[in-house]
Amino acid sequence: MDSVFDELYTKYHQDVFQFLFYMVRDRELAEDLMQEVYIRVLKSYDKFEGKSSEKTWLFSIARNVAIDSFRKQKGWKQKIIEKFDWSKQQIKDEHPMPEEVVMQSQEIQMIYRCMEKCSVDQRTVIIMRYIQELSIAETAATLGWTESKVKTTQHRALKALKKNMSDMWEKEGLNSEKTRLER
Amino acid sequence: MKKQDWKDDHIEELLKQLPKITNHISKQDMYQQMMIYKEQKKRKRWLTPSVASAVAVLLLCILVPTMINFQDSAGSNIDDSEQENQLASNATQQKEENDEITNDESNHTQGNTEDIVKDEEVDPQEDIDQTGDIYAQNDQSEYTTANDNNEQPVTQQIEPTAVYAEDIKDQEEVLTYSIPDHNVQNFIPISVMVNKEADLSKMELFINHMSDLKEAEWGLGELNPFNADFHYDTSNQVLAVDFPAATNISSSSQSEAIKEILTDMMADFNIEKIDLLTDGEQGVEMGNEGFTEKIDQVDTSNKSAYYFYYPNEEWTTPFLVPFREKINSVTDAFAAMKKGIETYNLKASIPNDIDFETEVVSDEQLLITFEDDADIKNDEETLYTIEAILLTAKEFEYNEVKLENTEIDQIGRFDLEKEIQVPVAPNKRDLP
Repeated sequence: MDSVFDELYTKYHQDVFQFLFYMVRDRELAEDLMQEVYIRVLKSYDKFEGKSSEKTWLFSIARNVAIDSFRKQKGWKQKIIEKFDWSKQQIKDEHPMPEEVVMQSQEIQMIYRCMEKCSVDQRTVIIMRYIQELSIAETAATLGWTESKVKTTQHRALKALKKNMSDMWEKEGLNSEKTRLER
Repeated sequence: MKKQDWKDDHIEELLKQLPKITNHISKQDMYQQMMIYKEQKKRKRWLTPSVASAVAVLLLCILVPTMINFQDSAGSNIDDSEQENQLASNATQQKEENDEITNDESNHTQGNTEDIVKDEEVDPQEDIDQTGDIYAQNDQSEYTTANDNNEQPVTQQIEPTAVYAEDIKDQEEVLTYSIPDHNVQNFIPISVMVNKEADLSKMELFINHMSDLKEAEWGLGELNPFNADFHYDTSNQVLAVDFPAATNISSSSQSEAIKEILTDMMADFNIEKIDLLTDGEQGVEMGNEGFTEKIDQVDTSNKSAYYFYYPNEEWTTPFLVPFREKINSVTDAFAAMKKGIETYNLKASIPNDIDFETEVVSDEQLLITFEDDADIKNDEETLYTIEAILLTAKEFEYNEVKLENTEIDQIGRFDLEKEIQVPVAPNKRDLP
């Protein structure tokens, strides 16, 4: 087995997998994308100059892989139309909630569902900052953004989440509570 | 159900509580899967580029005769032949775009290759359908820009009024003078850039360059109408202003102006004390104020909102002028800037049709989200409004402003995709 693979798997596999999972919200797809991440990583490991940390480098590759998979899900026509406005796009998905989330409180389930409604950039920042617990500087390095842009996007994302939470609470708060009790 | 009010920190807390998701594939399995995937990918890789090339050739075969036909009918009509050129370049572009897509596809060979082939086979047909109104379909954004250029060739060169960090060269110092207008009503901060001099403090540079100012040319009143001499004692931070013999500043507006100019200097340069002299003797006659020996420090804690000031009706570029008053927040300042101050001849710096929401992102950053119908164009008026917003933000100690929900992404030199740094100083003017 490749020693680079061995080392990266040991150090980062679970982190990167978790990141991909929260990005694409589908366990099987995340597993497939993991392979793509490793291929790209091994291919360009020689060129990795250690300018950024290994961790931010891996996350930036994982993010590109996730975004490419979103693009792939779309038809080519949409791709052309939306090419110019990628950052504002929302990706819809209808995957069932993973078991790990279903076992959590109603609020946590809600926030998981609301994340789906954020833009890709917003979701990326939220996952990196709160789930992967990267610092602002690390997030900026991973995304190739300025720290200010990370802060703005984070602020926007929290605001969007707040709004989505309120909307969802109002619309179906009662129902989901019922379902929870039945369960 | 009662509407729940979610707080930022509660949301943050919930996000942190999202469960860990783990992957149970072992290292060995993962490695093997990856190697298999890699092999599959390699084998399929040759397929998509060949399909792409075939499609490109097909596309050319169809497009070239169409273009030749066009050319025949064009005759000597210049307009038509121009359109031809555009069509040709659009066709190449279309081909490139196709190539790009297929290349992109090659990254994801998981998909059924047959599907890709089918997809591509449909493409050329669609492309021909599009050629009729190819101008409308192809890269709209580029076409619009070209159009705009025809109508307003100037927009590319619109220049901001203030000094920004990137304008200042290494050896330069920015000096800002508070110059009164002709009615001695408003004080316009004018910024000039001068070369630093090794043994001169900034205050000394400021004094030395006072006589270089071209107030009349700029449509303003005089900064130093009584030709006073300025001496600055750096170690004690005391400024001496010596008026020529027999100076009597009889008009109250002039004595007010002198006080205003000097107190502004005091605040800008941290001057401890300003002594007034006449021909070397202490004190000067100042109209209603009577015999005055020094200028006291005044409270400058009130913040300013920036308005537009035009010396007369022919003036097209406004001066951006701060008007100091008691304003509680930057949002209140922006609201005031929509109104202007008629008694001071200060015009609104934010037009009525530009509405926005202001949020404080951090101590350093403001986020301005324009309403959907806000009229944001890449023109001079909008640029000056943005500058008024930036200068006011600076007054409230923010360093950068992010503008959002604009249809365009560039105004003058400002890239709206990024945060805009507040200016270093307002109203840049060149010294001879």
